[in-house]
Amino acid sequence: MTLADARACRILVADDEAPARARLRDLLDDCRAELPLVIVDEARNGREVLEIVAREKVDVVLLDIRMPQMDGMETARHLAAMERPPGIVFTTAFDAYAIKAFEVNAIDYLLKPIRAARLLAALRKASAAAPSREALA
Amino acid sequence: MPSINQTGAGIRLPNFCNLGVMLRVLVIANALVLAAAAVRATRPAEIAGNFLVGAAFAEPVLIVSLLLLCAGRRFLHALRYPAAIAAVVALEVALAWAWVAAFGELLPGGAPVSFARVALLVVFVTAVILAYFDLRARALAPAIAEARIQALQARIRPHFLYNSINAVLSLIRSDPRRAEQALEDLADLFRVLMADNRSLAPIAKEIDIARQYLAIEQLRLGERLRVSWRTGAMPADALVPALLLQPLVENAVYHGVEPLESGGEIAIEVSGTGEEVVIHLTNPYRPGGDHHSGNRMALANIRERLQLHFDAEASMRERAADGAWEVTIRLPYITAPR
Repeated sequence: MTLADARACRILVADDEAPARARLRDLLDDCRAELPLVIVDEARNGREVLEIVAREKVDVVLLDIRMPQMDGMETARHLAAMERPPGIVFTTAFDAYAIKAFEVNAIDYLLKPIRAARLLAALRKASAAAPSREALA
Repeated sequence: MPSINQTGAGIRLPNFCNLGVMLRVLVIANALVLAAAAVRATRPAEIAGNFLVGAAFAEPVLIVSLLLLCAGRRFLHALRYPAAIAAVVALEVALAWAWVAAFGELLPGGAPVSFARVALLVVFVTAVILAYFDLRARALAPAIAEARIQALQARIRPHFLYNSINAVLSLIRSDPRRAEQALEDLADLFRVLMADNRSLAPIAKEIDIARQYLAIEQLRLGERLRVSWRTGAMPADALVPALLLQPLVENAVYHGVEPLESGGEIAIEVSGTGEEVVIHLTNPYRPGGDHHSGNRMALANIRERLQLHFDAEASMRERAADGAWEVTIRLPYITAPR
C-alpha cells in the first residue's frame, strides 16, 4: 500500500441503477485530482452495503435512498449503530427525504444529477469528520 | 362523435345513449311525477296510488323517448342547440299525446285528458330535464378546465426527470450516441407532456408516449424492466383522455418494478370489442410495500378524468392478485369526426 493509498478516502458507491453508479464513478474520477480517493466497491442495495462495510474499511458511503431489498434510510440506521460507522452521503433525486437524512446523522445530502464540485465538497466534509482519518493525522 | 362529450366548446344536448344520462332523466322525471302525486293527494295514503297512475302514463313515454333520442342523437347533434331543444320538446309532446290517444282510456280515473293539459305537463317536464342538463354542462365546463390541471398534475413525477438526466449524463462519456438518442426521446416525451392535455387523444398516440417513457426508464433500469405489449386487437383511432396511459405505466414502474431487485414485467393489453375499448395493465405487486398511497393518487386522478369525459360509461377497476397488480379500464369506443 503506497502512502497515497493509505491516505486516500475509501468510498463505497451504493445505487441500484447501473447508470447512476457509472455517473458516480465518472464524477469520482474527476474528484481524484483534488482529493485522493479509492472506490472500494459498489453495492446495489442496502444489504450489500452492510456486507461490504463489515468486510472492508470504508470511510464514506455514497448512498442512494430508493433501493430494493433495503433502502438507504434503513441502511443508514444500521450503519449508525456500528462502532466506527463510515460517513454517509445520501445521493437521491428526491428532496423530500432531506430532514430524515439528518436524523440519521448523514454528512451530506446530494441531489441527482450531482455536480462534481458538490460531490467534492461532501467528500471533504466526510474526510474531515472521519475518525480513521483523524487517527492517521 | 366527439360532440357527445362536453368539451367546454359551447353547451349542447347530452348524449342520450349514455347510461348516466338515461338514469338522470328517469330519476328527474319520476321525482316530478312523485311530486305531482303528492300535490294532488288529499291524504298521504293517496300518494302511492296517484304515483302509480302518473307512472303508468309517464314510464312508457319516457322509455320510448330515451330510445328515440338515443337513436336520433346524430340528427340532434347536427342541429343548432335551440333547434335541437325545439325538436326534443316537439317529439315529447307528440309521443305523450299519441300514448294518451291510444291508451288513455285504460288509465284508471279515465276522464279524457285534453291535449293542452298533456302538452303543458310534457313541456314542463322536458324543460326541467333539459334545463338540468344545460346547467350541468355549464357547471362541467370549468370542470373540463380542471381536468387539464389534473392532467398537468398527473403528468409526471419530478424524480423521473432528474433520474433520467442523471442516466443520460452517465452515458455522455461512454456512449455518446445513446446519450443523444435518450435526450431526443426525453425531448419528444416532454413536448407531449407540456402540451394541452385537456381533451381526448387517439389511443395509438397514448401508446407512443408510453413507449417513449418506457424507453427512457429502460436506460436506467436495464434488464430489470421488462415490458410486453398486446395491441393487436386495438382500435387505433379510439379516443381516450389525453395522458391516460403514461401515468399508469409510470405508476407500474415506480411501485411495481423499481422496488424489486430482479425487476419485473409490465404487461399492457389494449383491445376493442366494437362498442368498448379495454385497457388492461399488470405489474408485479409487493405486498406491504409503499404501493398504496402514491398509487391511489395517480389512479384517483385518472378515475376523475374518466368520469369527467365519459360519466358512467367508463370504469376503472384495480385489484391485487397472485403477486400482481391489475388495472382494467373500460371506456366507450368513440372516434374523431371524419
